[in-house]
Amino acid sequence: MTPASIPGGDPRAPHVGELRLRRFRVGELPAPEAEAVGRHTADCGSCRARLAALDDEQRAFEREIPLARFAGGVDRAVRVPRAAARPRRFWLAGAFSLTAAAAGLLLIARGEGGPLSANRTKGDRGDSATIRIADAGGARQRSILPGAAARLAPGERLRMGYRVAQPRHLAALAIDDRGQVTPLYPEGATSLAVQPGPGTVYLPDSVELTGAGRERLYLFLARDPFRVDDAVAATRAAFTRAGPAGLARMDRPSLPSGSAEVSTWLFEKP
Amino acid sequence: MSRHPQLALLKGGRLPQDPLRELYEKYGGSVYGRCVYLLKDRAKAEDAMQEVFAKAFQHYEGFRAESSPLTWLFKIATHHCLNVLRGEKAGWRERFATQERQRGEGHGGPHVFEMRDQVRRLLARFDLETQSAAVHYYVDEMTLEEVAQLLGRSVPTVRKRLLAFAAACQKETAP
Repeated sequence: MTPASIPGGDPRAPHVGELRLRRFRVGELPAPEAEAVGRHTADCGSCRARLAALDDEQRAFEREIPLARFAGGVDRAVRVPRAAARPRRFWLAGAFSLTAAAAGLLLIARGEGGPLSANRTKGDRGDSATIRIADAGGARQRSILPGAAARLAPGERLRMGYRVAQPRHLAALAIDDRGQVTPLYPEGATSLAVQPGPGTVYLPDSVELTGAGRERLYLFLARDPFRVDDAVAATRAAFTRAGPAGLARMDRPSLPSGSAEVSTWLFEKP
Repeated sequence: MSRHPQLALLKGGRLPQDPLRELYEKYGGSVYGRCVYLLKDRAKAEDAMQEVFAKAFQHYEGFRAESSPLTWLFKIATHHCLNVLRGEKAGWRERFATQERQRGEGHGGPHVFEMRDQVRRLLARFDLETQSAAVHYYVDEMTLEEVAQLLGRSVPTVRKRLLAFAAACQKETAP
């Protein structure tokens, strides 16, 4: 059959149609139909080869996109409707390479307490933030308190987490030695509304800091919604005020409303 | 692996212990292949695939109750990718000007690849419903009746749309 054929009837008779073959492969066909397809493929070399190719297709898919990466992507797509712009793959290296066991530590963890609770710094209003650092395989992890500095090993990735006692509005961004500011979260123009919960909530996607030098990360938690651009401008202004000392001496960026809790971490890139 | 909060809300029936693993192992290659076929860009195809499975995961009980979950996934994936392409009209045409062979398209032989290639080339000329009908008919090799049922249209309507598509193909291949 070619696309120039006038449509009608079974497009692939006497062979098994493409979708029917796929359905047979995953066990979706009713028993009588499955038996008929099974008998046909046993006798037909062409359809048998096509069936084998579908197995190859699945194996190639699993090699290209491991289960952990697939699960992370679907999890993110469920929780964060994708904006028109594609995610920045420059930043999204970490979660995709984690093993399934290790990934459980870094993905959304409502109700998580224990060791991470001890690493939080409580703000005046009961809000807190943390960053979790994982190695490339996800097996070794550590937390870093706001205000602290850390040297990253090659391949290490970061995951920002927060815990709020009241509804808040959140944005996260990074600034490098040259004063270039990159919004990390959310992707849109306005801060993300976040709700209180029993444990630390980690932002989707881990972050890998590439390039050389240092990078400072900020997490803003405000009482009212704010524009991400305002957080970016406030961060640039703080960098300018720091002068030659740069990232090491930046004071806290201040939003126009002045009501944000700002957590910061300084990283030395590998 | 994360446990999405929505899993706790699903009631009734017997869910597999790991719904995401089932989706991945049974349908991942097929859905990803469909997205790659239409979008050409593997990164965009992966994004699209995740969106499709997110929809399935969010409506998991209904999805599993479908007589053909795979057909449902193909319908969603096709519709989603065609919408992505419609949002990138000019870029799409340029990308199709420099096509490359994709995995999974060669298994039927060179003639199958050429047919799928021709279908993909001509999609941009038609409305979304004709595009969907053409993909399901010529690529998924569904019958007219199956395509009509999937798209919620009558057989004569689907036939009419496919005739228009076939005419365009004939014109393209005419000497």
